[in-house]
Amino acid sequence: MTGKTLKVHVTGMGGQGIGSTTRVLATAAKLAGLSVMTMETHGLAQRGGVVVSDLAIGYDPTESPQCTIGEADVLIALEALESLRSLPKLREKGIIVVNTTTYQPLAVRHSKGEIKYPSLEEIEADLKRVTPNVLMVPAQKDAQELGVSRTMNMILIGALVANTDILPISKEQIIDGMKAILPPKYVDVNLRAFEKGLSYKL
Amino acid sequence: MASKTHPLLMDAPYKEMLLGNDAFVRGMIEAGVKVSAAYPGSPTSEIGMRLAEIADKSGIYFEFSTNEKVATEVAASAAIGGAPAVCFMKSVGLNVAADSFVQLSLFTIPGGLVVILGDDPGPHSSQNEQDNRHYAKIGHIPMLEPANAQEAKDYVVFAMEQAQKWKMPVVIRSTTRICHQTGLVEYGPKKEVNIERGYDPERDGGYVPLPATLKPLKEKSLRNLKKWEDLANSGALLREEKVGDGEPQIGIITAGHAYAATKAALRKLEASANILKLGIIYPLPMKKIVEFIKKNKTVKILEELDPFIEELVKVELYEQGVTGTKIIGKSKEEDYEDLMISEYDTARLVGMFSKLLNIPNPIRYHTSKLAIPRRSPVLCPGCGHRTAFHAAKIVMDKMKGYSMADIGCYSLGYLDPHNQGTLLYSMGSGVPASSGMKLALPDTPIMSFVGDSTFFHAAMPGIVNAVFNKHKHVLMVMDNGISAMTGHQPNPNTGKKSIGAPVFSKYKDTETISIDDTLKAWGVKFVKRIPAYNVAALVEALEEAFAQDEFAVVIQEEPCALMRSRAELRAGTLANPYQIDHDICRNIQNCLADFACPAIEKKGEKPQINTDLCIGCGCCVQTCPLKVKPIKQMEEFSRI
Repeated sequence: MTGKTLKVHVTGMGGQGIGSTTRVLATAAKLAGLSVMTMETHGLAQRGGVVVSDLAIGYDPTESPQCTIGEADVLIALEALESLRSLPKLREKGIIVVNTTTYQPLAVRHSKGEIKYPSLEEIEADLKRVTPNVLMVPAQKDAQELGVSRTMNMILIGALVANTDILPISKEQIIDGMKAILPPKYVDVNLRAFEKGLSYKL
Repeated sequence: MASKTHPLLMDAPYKEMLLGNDAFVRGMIEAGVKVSAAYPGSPTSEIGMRLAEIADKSGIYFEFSTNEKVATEVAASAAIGGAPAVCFMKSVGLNVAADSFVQLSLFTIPGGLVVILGDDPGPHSSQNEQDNRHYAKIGHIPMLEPANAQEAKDYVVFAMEQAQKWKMPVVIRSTTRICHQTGLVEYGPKKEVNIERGYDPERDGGYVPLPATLKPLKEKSLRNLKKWEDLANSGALLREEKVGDGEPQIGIITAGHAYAATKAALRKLEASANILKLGIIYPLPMKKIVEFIKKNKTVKILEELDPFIEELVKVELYEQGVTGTKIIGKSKEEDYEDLMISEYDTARLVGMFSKLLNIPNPIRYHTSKLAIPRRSPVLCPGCGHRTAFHAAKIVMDKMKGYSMADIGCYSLGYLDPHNQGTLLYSMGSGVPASSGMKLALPDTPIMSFVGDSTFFHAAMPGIVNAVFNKHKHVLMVMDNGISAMTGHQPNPNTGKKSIGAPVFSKYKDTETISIDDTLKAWGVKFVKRIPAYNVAALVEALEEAFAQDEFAVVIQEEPCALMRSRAELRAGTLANPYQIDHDICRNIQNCLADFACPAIEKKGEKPQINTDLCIGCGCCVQTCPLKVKPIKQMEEFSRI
């Protein structure tokens, strides 16, 4: 292992752009000349199920890129409840970026009230019990203003970049990563989403 | 991308971030593969999607075959005719292909045949986590196992070279963790393969194994395997390495993703070890393995799932009388720390090695103090299967019947609130399950479900059997026009009708093969096609079907909602979402309790529609018992 390493764990629901979140960061790392690997885990459903994606930068490429418990420097949750499910992945004092968007699981919708979706305040308090570095980002509202819902992940990446110095990749390299992998007609709106994300402060 | 070369087709020297599945495709390009065939199945589905996408430029013929057995026979026969060929399938797909797969090693295959398997320890997306390494033994076929994306690419090239050299089949066994990881892959040159095409039916004992002709064919097969044993013992794809700065505390024999996870675990533990990393996992490089074992006081044989390597190695050690090394596997009770269940990840291995090496476990983590509701996979908003299950449940509850499941998105009907499809074996098993159940419970109404792709894959013999043997039960065909669960691959029912289906040039003009006409041709008299979104019509059709005195079929039809809604969203034609007027709603909650579309959420104590998820199908309105419906489509809404 040489230089700086970083493990990122991205979680959310299928269709929320979990794959493209890691792909932007991975491409940025590749452009920066760093060793980079990712691993995606998705279960049965195209939608409605949890999808997670791990990113490992700067590690020995013969190692598994999988992010194990207590290992993630960064946890990005595109859905609020999933930040709690993935919390064990976070290392001590890691940073968590949470999209405040919520999707109720069937268990909640189908219960007679015995199973509840915790409130955003409860989620934030629980995460802050573990690390002071918790960013709750209303990315859905921002994305609505931008007019493209599939920009929420770039807002979260922006918020991450603005609030940490542990990334081995620069803001400019991330922008290059976006330009490299996004369809040309969506680059501009995603750049604006990224800029919007930069305005969030811990 | 019209003018730009596809990244997978670039010439070396070139480096690209590739998904393991894409790395397999690149390997095929470098190996000069000409023919490829597959039936989609996780974790290998993306290989087919990519091959279909680049078919015009890659020079590789690719087809989605109707099932894995057909794919294997298509690819193997192309290779026997002299075209380098690859077929690939998910773990349980090999069970379907097995009948022909186990014959492959008997044949002389001049074109070269490589079979890529996607095993699924976990499992993540399969009905079991069977260990397909056993098939290498059954079929006398050599097997390789890559540990990352680079090896995925390299092993295809290596396997094809050897397959052509010795004119025999080679299997690459991959797992979900290899298929679904990405890594930087360094490209190699594209091989110019010059194999004289042509088929000689008499070559090397011919191609018709019969009791009278089998012996020389089998002798050849075993001789070929011996060549692989020598190749493995020569050190091919084998790597011995020392990890850590200290004196090695243990020797580890491993392969595949287990190797990659071991590397991460040893780093975390700051432990030192000797590792023997296998690339050829059958036949094993036994000479090298025994040498390695003799050099170490303790050796852990580290493999996911079954003790496959362990058992072979222990036999060899017994034969050679090697007793000086303690071998830790998983086949003895005291080794049960390493269970045969599920996959390895770094933390599991850190736990295992911290006990084995008596090193404190360094992993620290926190869990949430809140109760986290389970999030099980669900059918998508607007899925036609949901209304169909809603209707089936109404009928089954009323008639006190049972329904049998099959494999596809609609396996999810088993979950709350529909609980339909309660017995499941494998692809196509629903109809025969009904037949058997009906023999045991002649007075109970029995029905089954089958999707359109599964219909053509493996359900047809069971249906013909039901007609032939006069079984009286009902089948509901779940026709969404695509193989949806594996990521929207075309099937014989897709044709041109499915909205939003990915268009591959090969299938552009394909006519739909009619399920209705197929059933009728077999003599099924009652075949009714009903729009899936119409619950009342479905209930009526099912009741009518159950009133028949013979096997009867109801086909519910609606294009995959995920595929259609994505296409309509892109085109700006997606219907507005619905919302609930709480002045009218009496909070009966049938929409939540009986229907459970993901778009209907519970806010406070009332149902509320998540407009981000609702695709405007309006099906939930049918579940509301009120005369004046409180669920209404929004007149003004801007989709983003």
